[in-house]
Amino acid sequence: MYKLAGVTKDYPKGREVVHALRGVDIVIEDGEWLAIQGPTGHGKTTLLQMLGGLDRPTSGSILLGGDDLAQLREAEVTRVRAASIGFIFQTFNLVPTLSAQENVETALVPLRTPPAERRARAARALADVGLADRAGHLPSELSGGQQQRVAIARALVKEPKVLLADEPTGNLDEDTRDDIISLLEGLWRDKHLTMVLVTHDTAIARRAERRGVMKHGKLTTSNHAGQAPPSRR
Amino acid sequence: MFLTYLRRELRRRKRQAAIIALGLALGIGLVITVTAVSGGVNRAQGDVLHSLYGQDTAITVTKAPSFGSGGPGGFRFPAGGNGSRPSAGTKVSVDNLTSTALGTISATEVAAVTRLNGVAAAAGGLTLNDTKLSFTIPSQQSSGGGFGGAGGSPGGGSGSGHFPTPISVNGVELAGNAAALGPLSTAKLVSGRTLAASDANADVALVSSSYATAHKLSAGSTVTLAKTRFKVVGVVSAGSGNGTDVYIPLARAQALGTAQGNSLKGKVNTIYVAAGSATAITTVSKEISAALPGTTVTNQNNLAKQLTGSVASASSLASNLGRWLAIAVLAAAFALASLMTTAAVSRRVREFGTLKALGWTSRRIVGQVVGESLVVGVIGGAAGIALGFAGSALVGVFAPTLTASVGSATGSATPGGARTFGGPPGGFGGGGGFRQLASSATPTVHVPLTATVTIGAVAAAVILAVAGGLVAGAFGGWRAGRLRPAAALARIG
Repeated sequence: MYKLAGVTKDYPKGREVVHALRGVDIVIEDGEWLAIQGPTGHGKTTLLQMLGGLDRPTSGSILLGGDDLAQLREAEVTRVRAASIGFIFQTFNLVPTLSAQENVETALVPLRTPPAERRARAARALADVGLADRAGHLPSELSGGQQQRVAIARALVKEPKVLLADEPTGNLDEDTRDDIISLLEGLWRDKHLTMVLVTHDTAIARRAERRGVMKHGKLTTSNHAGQAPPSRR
Repeated sequence: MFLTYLRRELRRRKRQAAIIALGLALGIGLVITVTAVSGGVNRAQGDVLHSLYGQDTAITVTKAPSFGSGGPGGFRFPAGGNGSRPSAGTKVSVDNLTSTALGTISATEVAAVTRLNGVAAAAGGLTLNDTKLSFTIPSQQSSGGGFGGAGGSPGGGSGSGHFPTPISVNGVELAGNAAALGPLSTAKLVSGRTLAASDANADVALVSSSYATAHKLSAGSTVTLAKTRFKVVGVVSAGSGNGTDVYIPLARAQALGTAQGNSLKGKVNTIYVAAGSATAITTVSKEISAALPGTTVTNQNNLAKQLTGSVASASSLASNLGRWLAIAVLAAAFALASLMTTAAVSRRVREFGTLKALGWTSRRIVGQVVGESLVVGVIGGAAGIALGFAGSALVGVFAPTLTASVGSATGSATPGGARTFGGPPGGFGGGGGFRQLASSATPTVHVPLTATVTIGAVAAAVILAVAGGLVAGAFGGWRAGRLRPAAALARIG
């Protein structure tokens, strides 16, 4: 699915240059669940931005199903993002003025889905995350866990190929965290998603098929030592 | 989704939206009110002019002097007996009445103007200078024997060593309606009597009050022009800008005056024309220009310049201060709307970044921002229109009645008596068209000020409202369009 080769990202900071990514090479197979850990400021989020086409690398290539995201025009990257990539953010990032149902629908707007179909698919996505009865609530009327479920529904309603999650449980309590990770794991398994999840939580990372560690802009990956990776049905 | 998102967002920041809309409403309301007041004042002016004039006037026709006309003075010195220079010690005294600044126009041409369509009356006049010099012919070697300037003195006394000051003289028609035209018609009689039609060939004169004061003249005194003694029959006070010192009958001015050494008999150098109506003034001016090519035709298209009184003040206030105040308030409202919209977009960085991450294009996001601003602009415009109507209504209720005087009604020094223009409907013709001004009448009218909002003003308000929304939306949209989707992943804290 993903093939990154020699990906670097440099940011100018005053007179200095910050090397956020230093030659990342990795292949992420279709349907794989990769968890990325690492200290803060070592490039995890930057890598996620590259995978999601939210930013362009300074050098290197990022192949997603044959398309090099680093070379595509902005409009083309936007189309790929709209159709194929789902995002889940640590802070949920729901539109505060839209209801849960409407927030899920925002993911289908760029695809020009007809309104009736859009509403139906959003309702189904909310049902999949167990929030069918909260469709009309605003984010301010939902708990943290419920908001993250809405965000998950929003990410998955367009049936993406890839799900990118940046600390999806970072703002949640322990019980809710488990619920969310279980939900994500179930959806990954059921929908055959390719999922890349950034987390500080080692327990969560252990549930993934493969773990990667970002340190000083370099990524090293390994399978679970001595453990069989979680299997699909 | 577009309308839902727009509606919800405006409801979320309804206080900010209300402030922006209120600012736009104030600016637009002020523009409408000022436009309505301006229209009302213009209508008041029209009422004034119609009341005072009925018909309209004030066209002058002049001609530039031909090349080579004499310089100041244009003196004709008396020649020696055999054409040679007079002998030393000879006393010389000259008193010339000349036309120098203007070319001459024949009586035929004056008659042609009188016959033109739309002309109520026409009168010829002569604007002349009377210059006096007395001196002694010096010997060829001597450096003395200076000139004596006698410019300002009716007695023709001599001075020495200074250039003479000419006397400004106006030859005025005294017959019929022609007497109500020309510079004397705006003057007021101070003492004595004015000139009458029977004075047409008499050596009588009126002097201006300033000239009379300077030379200690009064009714019964004499002034000498072109070596002819004129009896002063009255003193007049002329309007500002009228620099005439002495008024004499036109026939006497024509008989005594010269232009470039030629007699002025049957000639004038200015034609004063009264048009038949206010609307005819431009047409009449064009007809005169066509009938008398080479002349300069001057009219007073903007009759409001003649108005004095509170109508003129209100007009000036509405068009100058009022307009600029409205523009300033509107500009401030636009700036406020733009700043607040840009600030609101800045607060939605994460929201817009997330939408971009979901695949929303910059165009869609900018369209959302512009749409929100447009709605606020339209709301502000609607409120502004309501404010404009309210403001105009308040002006009609509370504005004082305006007054206006028009200086062009003829003065009390008009030969035959003061007159105003305007007569019974259809009364204009060769001999009619002027009304005798009652001695107790004053050329002042009172008009109420009403401010009416026009369709044009409402349309302008709508356009301004949309423009305000677009300007604010453009600033905010530009900010939103520049947002990077990566901003959605920025950490908090």
